[in-house]
Amino acid sequence: MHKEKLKILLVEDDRIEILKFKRSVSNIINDYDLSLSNNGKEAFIEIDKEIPDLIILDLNMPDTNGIEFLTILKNDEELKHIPVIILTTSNNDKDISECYRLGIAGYVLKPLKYDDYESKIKAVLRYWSLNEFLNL
Amino acid sequence: MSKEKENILNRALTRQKQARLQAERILEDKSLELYKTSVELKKVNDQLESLLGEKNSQLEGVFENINDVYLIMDLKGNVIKMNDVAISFFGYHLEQEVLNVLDLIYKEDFKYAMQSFNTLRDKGRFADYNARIVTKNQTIKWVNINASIILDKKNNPIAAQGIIRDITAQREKQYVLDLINDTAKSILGKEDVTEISLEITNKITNYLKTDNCIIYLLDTEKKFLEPVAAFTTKLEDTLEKIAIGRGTIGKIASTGISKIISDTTLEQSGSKNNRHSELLVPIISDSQIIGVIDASHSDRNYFKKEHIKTIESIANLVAMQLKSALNLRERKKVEKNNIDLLEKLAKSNEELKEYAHIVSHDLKSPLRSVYALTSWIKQDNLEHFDENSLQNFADIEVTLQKMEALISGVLKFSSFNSNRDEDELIDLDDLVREIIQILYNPNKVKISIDTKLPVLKGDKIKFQQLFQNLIANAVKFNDKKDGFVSIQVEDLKSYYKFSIKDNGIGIEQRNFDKIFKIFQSLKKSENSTGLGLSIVKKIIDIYKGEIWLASELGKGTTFYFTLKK
Repeated sequence: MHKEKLKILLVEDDRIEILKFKRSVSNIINDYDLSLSNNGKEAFIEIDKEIPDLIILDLNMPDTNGIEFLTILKNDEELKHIPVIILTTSNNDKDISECYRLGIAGYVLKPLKYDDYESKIKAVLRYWSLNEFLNL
Repeated sequence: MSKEKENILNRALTRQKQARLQAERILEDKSLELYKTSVELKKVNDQLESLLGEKNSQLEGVFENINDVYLIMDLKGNVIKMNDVAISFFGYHLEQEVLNVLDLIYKEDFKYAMQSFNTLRDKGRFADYNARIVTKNQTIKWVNINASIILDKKNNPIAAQGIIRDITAQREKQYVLDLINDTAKSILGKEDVTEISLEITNKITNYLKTDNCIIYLLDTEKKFLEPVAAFTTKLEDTLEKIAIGRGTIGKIASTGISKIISDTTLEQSGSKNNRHSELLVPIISDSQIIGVIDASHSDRNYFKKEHIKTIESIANLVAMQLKSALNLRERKKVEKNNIDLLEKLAKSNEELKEYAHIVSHDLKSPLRSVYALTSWIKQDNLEHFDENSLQNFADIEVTLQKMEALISGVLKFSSFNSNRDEDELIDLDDLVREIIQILYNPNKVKISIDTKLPVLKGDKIKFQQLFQNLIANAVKFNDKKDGFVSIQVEDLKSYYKFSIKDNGIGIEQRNFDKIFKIFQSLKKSENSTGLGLSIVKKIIDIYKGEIWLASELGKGTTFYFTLKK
């Protein structure tokens, strides 16, 4: 069975956070097609080029933050189907319920320890690469 | 001629003779009657003549002695005759000057006068004509007139007579009464201070025929008079607040005695403008001065004593309503302040919560980065580090974890609000049992609920935090081999008194107050942030309870707290 690489768009402004993400998946990076955007605005440009299979979204960003990005995305008939996973430090109840209201595939809280972080990210990606309907 | 015919004729003749005789008799009777009547009439006539003469002289007496004004005029209105009362009332002397009643009529009543005059001409009389006249010295008087036409022998009108009564005083009283009634009606049901005051100034200026009236009300707190309503045609007048006791108006507010100033230019504090007469009346409610009515007029010596009486009556009338309107305004102000304050508080509360979230998020992110970066340095260079360096790395990690716990604690502390809207019935017994089960208890401290805990109304999360923090502390700071924590409750009518007793390390008495303060951790410990008891205290405060403790160093501590039923 031929499988296409899972196309992931990481929307994150913090350079170290990007490093963390990349390092977490470094030994499996060849299984994925990873693109990056520093904020919501850039992310839409990226999506215009190619629609990703999965978006991993940080909430605290300058210029179109996570919630704003999500709101626009979920109101777009063409794009609302793209699963979005929130990856954030904020466990603010308001943020969490707002994200679920708008429609998200998951809410991942960044743990303090890097090892915990790495295993969480790997688990999420593993789950989504097994999700066959993405390849239809 | 036959015998029979003769008989018939004779009989007819006899009948005729008889009839004639009868008629003559009747005629005689009637003549006598007529004569008698004429004699009678003559007698009556004589009587009447003498009576008439009597009446005439009587009338003459009445004319002179009548207390009311009496005058006779020709049909063109020229006064022919007046009694003495009339002369002094109108101030005109017929020997010296010609007087026409038209000259007396007050300008605005002219139309009404003409109508009444027409009635007099057409119907021969009029009654209860009420209008104003102007006397020779230009005084305006209210009069009531009853008049009739005088006819000559041929029934031709030749003159008119009138009895005139001076009703000025009566009219004035009625007017004041009407004014007071009118004022009362106009402010009825009004609750707004300004609205009521405006009505009053309107009525007063109308009554006093002036164009300037201001109502000042007393601000008892700030001790000054505030102009609340002004009826004035002079828009350039700027109304200023007046300190009590200062100036003529301020003095009225302290003395409470009405005052007329006949010529303000003679007063020290007199106004520079052209309002020369001033009338000042205090408004008094329940023997408290609540304001001042200030009317002025451009003429000197304009206001009279009667004016004071009238304005005082009005002041008395409106005092109570003004007072309650003032109270209402005060109450509304306080209410509005309270609402504003509450809104502000709610807002700043919300802002604080939001702020704490943002800050703690912003603080947590760099911690994660530092953690990741140090992990990588360690991982990537593992073979180059000695044991010492590796220990340093481990210490960095512990420090970062402590920092993380602190930030989480602050976040938790700040997210407890005093909002009790979502209160529900909580079974504390169930809740505490759950806590005991999930509590981190590596030293197997024995935790027991010795009296069944009650069901209380409140927020589940707050109760959880309250018990969890206290029990966790008791477990954490227990150095004994057979450590225990005992939870009890006492039902004290309106509230419950809980106690959580342990046989742990104990707390020194000098630290009893300190421990409830934020970030106050007495024992340096890896897993203690010093926030637990601050959170406990905050929750107890929300439920308006109390918390205290008894402790002996080395032997154990008992925390007591109360929660209202």
